[in-house]
Amino acid sequence: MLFIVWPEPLITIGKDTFIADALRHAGAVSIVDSSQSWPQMNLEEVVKLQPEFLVFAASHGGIAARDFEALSSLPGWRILDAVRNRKFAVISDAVNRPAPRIISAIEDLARQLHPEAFIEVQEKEKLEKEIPPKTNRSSANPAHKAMNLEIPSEEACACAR
Amino acid sequence: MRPLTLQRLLLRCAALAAVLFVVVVVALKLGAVPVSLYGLGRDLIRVMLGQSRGISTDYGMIVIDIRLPRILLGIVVGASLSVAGTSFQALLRNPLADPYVLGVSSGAALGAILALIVEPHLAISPEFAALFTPVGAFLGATATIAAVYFLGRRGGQIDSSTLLLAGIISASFLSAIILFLMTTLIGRDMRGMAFWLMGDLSTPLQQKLRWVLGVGFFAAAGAIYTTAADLNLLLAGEKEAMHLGVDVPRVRLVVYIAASVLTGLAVSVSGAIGYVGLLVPHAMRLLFGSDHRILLPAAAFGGAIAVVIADTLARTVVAPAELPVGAMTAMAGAPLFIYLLRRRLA
Repeated sequence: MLFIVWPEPLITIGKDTFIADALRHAGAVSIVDSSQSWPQMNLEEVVKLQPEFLVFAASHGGIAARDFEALSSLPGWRILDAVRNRKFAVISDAVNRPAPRIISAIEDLARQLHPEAFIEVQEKEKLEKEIPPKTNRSSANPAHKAMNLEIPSEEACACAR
Repeated sequence: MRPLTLQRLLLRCAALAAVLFVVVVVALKLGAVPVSLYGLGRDLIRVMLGQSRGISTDYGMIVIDIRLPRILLGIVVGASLSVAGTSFQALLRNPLADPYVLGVSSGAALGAILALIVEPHLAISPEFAALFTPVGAFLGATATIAAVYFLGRRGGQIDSSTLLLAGIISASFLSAIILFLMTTLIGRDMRGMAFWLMGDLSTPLQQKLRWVLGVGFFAAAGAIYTTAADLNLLLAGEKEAMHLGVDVPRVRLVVYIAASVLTGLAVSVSGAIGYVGLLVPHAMRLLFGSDHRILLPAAAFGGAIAVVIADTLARTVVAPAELPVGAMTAMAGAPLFIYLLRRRLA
């Protein structure tokens, strides 16, 4: 995937930023492996690497959706598979701040990138509702539960490039 | 000095066009994906014949859809800046004049920044949103041109030195507003501003804007070329030119507006790319003399060559990341200018 910090010019994240670290926890692998923290990316390079998802962080979904539409009307961006297939994920801009809310942003992204990994969790939660387990402490917080249960496998990481 | 004949003019233009062609081919070849000269030629011919569907590979698409438009944009921007710089140097009879001296770039940057600030608050369609900043930049440039024009008049006519001072003071006033906005704005807009202040060709242009840019360039550059002979006489001084039969007020007006439009167009799509409009005219003057009938087309080719080379470096030196092209032109431009200056003095 490609995390878009700023679309014009295209700025993304390098591997040493805390955002990159947060995204890795969501099972997202950035196509950019730069040691520069905020590299300005060459569009050709992005098309060559064909990210599976474009990831936007925005205070509300509308802004990111509009950014995506604006990009998809530009020549060059149109030949990206992610743009053609309208594969983009929008997460809260809490991911831009190393603060407690970053956890829910990570979970949100993981849900969008790996919906299949959450099916199991939902079923378990359903089961737990029907037959309440005796030690109930860990299921009090579904966000933490999802984080602990579903650290995506190597395969899942690879599929979310 | 030998008189300029049509043959000499065409010969020099052909030589410069050949250099530009070689530079474009090299620029097309360099980049993230490898491409063979044969494949390049085949794909280009297909595009010219309107069979772009024949290009099957993604790599071909990258070259045709990303690299080629960017190079063409660089050609038009470079030619515009360089022709505008040549014209301003002749019009103001000041070797330090460049396309930005009259505040056009600051006006465009301010327009773009204001557009960036208001845009998220307006409910406009995404397709129009992509046009919003270039249009804002162009409006900013136009407003500055008009303001400087009215400030720069004396006795109902443009006066070169008043115009120059009005332009410089407008530019610094607008820069002050930009700095004020930069210190009060949130981070998201800062990136966009850096883009407008440094110059960058990485954002692909929408189809409609390409047409506007192309037509605008040829119209404005053509208008300036009709005054080429008059500009030669203007170099001797405004009074002298008037005595020799030049309609000085008309020439000033035509050149001022056309050169400003060229600058406004270039800045609104690429930000302020420095040094091209200052340096290329001087380099071309050293090579071809100061007859504007040959200097203007030579400057157009020279500017295009300079910007395409600078942008190719900008997108390949630190690949896979890239640099703003304005940083490249400034880093190469200043030392080159000093070299040219010292050489002329020696």
